[in-house]
Amino acid sequence: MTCFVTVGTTLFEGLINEILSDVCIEDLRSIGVNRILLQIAVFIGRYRKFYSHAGAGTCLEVLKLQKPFIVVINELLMDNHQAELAVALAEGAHLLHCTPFTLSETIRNSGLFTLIPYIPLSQKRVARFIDNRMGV
Amino acid sequence: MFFIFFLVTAVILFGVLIATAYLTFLVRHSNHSNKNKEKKHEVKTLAVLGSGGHTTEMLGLIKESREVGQSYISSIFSTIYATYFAFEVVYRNRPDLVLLNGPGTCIPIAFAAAFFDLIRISDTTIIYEESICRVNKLSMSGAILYYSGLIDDVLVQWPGLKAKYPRCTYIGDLKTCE
Repeated sequence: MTCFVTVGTTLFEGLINEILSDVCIEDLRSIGVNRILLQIAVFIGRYRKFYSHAGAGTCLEVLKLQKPFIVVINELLMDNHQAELAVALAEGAHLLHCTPFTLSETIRNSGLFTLIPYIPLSQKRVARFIDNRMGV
Repeated sequence: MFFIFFLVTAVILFGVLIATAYLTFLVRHSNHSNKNKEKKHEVKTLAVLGSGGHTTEMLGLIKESREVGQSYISSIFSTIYATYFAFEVVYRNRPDLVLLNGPGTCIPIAFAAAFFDLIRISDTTIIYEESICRVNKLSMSGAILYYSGLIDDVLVQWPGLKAKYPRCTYIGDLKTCE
């Protein structure tokens, strides 16, 4: 199983350092990961499991793929409203969230493989609402 | 002396004029029934594309719209120029509908559109959709538009926001298709 780590378009040394620590690598191995890919580019393809910073764009894109997904929140960012989204989605059991310090225990969390697929509210409703409002 | 009296009276009258215009604006924009409106075939739409994530969300919405004929999509703003530019763009195009979803650069467009509607040069519906990232609190631009009353609808994507800001519309409450 491959584990894909992305920091989106930001700099997040905390996550990279933590995922490459001995503890985390050991944990990953224990849940069956034998390959780790680190990436900062946009392409996210066919990997089995994701660790990501809490950027909303990355979050929603990865959720579409319906893979085991951990969001690592960068607590160094001030007014981190993007973390709000991760927390809200975690409440619905669509993903797990943590900080670099709790990454290791989150990897061992058995909930990781029983996440509920997230189906976003369709923008069709909004379009229809606007059509109605405009009398189209 | 007479000049001062004249000036004070002029200021007061001007204030009354603005207040009346604002009140009639609020009344016009709080009546959402469209039974008296003629059926339109074309809605001139102005959408603001800001930075990265906002643009993705806005394009998602536009894609779902029934038909996009000619849309005036404007981007690239810088702070001071933005306001002048906003007034110019809105005046030139007189849109029927303005779609906004942040970031802050969409505010001048909203004000410009509301201004031309206020002085009855155009008839514009302004709709703001809050980003999906906002779970507990409206963004700065969302809050400004919500509290100024210059906007027809603030759409939110999480029920918590609806509870906190009752005049918003939660998109989960909207009817699904057909």
